[in-house]
Amino acid sequence: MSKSTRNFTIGLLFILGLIGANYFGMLDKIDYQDKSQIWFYNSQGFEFKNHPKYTYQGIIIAPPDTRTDHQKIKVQTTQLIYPEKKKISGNVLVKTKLYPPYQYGDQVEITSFLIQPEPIEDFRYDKYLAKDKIYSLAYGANVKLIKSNQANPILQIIYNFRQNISQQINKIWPEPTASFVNSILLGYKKAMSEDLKEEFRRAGVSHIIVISGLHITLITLLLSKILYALNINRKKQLSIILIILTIFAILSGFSASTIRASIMGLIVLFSQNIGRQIQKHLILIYTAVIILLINPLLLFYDLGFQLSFLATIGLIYLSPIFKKVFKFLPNKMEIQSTFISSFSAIIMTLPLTIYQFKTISLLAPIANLFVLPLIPILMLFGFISILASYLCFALAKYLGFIEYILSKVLFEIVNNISSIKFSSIDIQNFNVLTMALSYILIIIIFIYAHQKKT
Amino acid sequence: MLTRKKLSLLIILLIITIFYYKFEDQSHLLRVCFINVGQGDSILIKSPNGKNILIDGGPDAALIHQLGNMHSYKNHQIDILVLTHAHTDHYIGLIEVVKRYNIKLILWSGVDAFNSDYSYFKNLIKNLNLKIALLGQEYLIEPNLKIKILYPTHQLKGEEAQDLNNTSVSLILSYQNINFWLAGDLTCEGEAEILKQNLNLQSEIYKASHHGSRWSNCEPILDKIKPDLAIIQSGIDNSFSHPHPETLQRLEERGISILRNDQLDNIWIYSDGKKYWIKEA
Repeated sequence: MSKSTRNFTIGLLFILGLIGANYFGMLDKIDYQDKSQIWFYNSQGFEFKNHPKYTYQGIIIAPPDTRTDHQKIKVQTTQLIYPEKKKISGNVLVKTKLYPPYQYGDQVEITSFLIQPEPIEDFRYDKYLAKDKIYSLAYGANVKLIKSNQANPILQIIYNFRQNISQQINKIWPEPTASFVNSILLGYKKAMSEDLKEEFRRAGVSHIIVISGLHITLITLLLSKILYALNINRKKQLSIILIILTIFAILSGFSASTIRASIMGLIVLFSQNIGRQIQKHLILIYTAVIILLINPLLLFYDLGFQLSFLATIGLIYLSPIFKKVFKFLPNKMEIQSTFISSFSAIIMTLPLTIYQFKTISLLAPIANLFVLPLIPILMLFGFISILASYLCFALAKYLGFIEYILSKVLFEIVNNISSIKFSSIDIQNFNVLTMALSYILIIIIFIYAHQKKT
Repeated sequence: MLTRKKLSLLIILLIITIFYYKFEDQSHLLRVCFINVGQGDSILIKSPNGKNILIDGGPDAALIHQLGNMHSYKNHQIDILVLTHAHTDHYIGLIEVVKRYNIKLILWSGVDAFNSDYSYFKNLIKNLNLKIALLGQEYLIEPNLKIKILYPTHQLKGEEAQDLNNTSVSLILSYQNINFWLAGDLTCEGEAEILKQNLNLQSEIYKASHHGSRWSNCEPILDKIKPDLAIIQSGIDNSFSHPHPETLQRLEERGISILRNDQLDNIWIYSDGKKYWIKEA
């Protein structure tokens, strides 16, 4: 057995081991009788009338999740105040009114109900929260700010910077361009209006508004071109890209797909740097193992993680096969390669997306053909305009107009495709079993096609 | 390297930019949009010469998404922002607007509400150009287009309000021969105050006060205003059951036609100063 085969097998066994461990509930064991944890005080169910209210203090340890009519803040508790004063720990997700806005690092005092998370119909909301180590929800919350800047100072600086950029974006562009730029450059995907997000879903292009491998690749390419032009040597290039990618991963809110793409990108750069090529499937499994060692629950309850890896698997394994099928497509302007890579990613993620969203977007490959070429230009002009806004706002406003028109073109395309009657069809009764069978089918077809080739 | 292809692309982009920057969004009509913000009020007024007036902002941040599509790119300005009164379904949506847009003048009653989101709002606007609205004030926006304040009839600032609804800044927007009655959440009590002044209140378009509540929109004021058209800003299945059947009856009895945001989404009314018409979406 060669070294690479051995490493690949170990990685695969690790992931299989996790699946087993999760099956027996070994990955998130919570002791609800532990009086030193905030979740000890959880009430059951949403009949608030009969529940007691608690007062506690804590620190906001993630950027708030701001929606159109409320915000959700993740609070790491430090002290219980009422009914008794004592030290306490554990995280609470607090739903509170939209204003005043809270920040990462705020120390707050909260009076609220504490509710145990429960599954919502099919959706394991409790598990989804467990992956972020949240076992308590606060409703009817009254939040009081005590002090600011109580969390990690470096993250604080980066998040403040992120917020500052976001404010610039909101001043340069009107909606919906503003929230779109916020999504593709800062990972504020929740800022976009529900209607627009729904259009993106129906057209099958919602992956472009979530920072993913696509965006990271574009940034890495751009960076290495700039650094190359500046005549900086390779070793330095690597460390500069490493720092910028890390900052970008934090800026974009640490989503699983960003981290996946950043780690993979770094391994590629690193292997190029030491002059040895690492096989693609090894890069993939190394990345998966690194992320899952940090948080194994992502494998089961983070849709972003799942989609990101499935799409990459599609790009690596399926695209060589589809290359033969779609030979007839014109090879001009990268139409063929764009179509093939979108198609491969779509096929590999399809069973999961049907299972999750109960809908299938039929025109997705075509929509992507139109939309994908716009993304690098939109990222570039967005970036340039924001940069300009710190020097001269009028200039930013002028440059931003190009971005504005381009984004309008994009919205127009998405709107037209999503409003075609058969752009998407709803599929009910697609359960875990059907999903598993679909993947087995994909694997069988892959093996068959692979054997025919050799 | 800048190839010829890239260069020509750049030039095309530049031309588009200059073009769009110069000509956009001019209609020489008065355009008034009663924005569908759910259960709450928000009205955008676009003057014939491109000035913007915004009255109230609805109950959440959704307004900002609507405004983006109604404003031109270049004109990131609200010339007059009116906050009728300090209830959340009227001011929450304004917070994002104040943060992003260039606000020239804010008209309000100055009456306080004591909760953390209103304090946040007040703190945001404290350095802007604020003006207390009062009966008798007139704001000339353009030749032929003006705002006449009818309520509050006396200075309310600093007073402890029994009912914030009765602190609503109420006004008539007047464009030559066409008048719009816009009175926030004013109740019958406040309406009676205005009637005492014995002014000419006749208006073609009537925004039903307080989302069509039966404690507002009383008969005496309707008989004085004599509108042809009433617009009701209320949300689908709202918890206050606005508009009230009694209000609808009062309007129908007087032959006033009714348009509702919960049924029609955004309602645009255009006017050239002599007549008005409802713009089909």
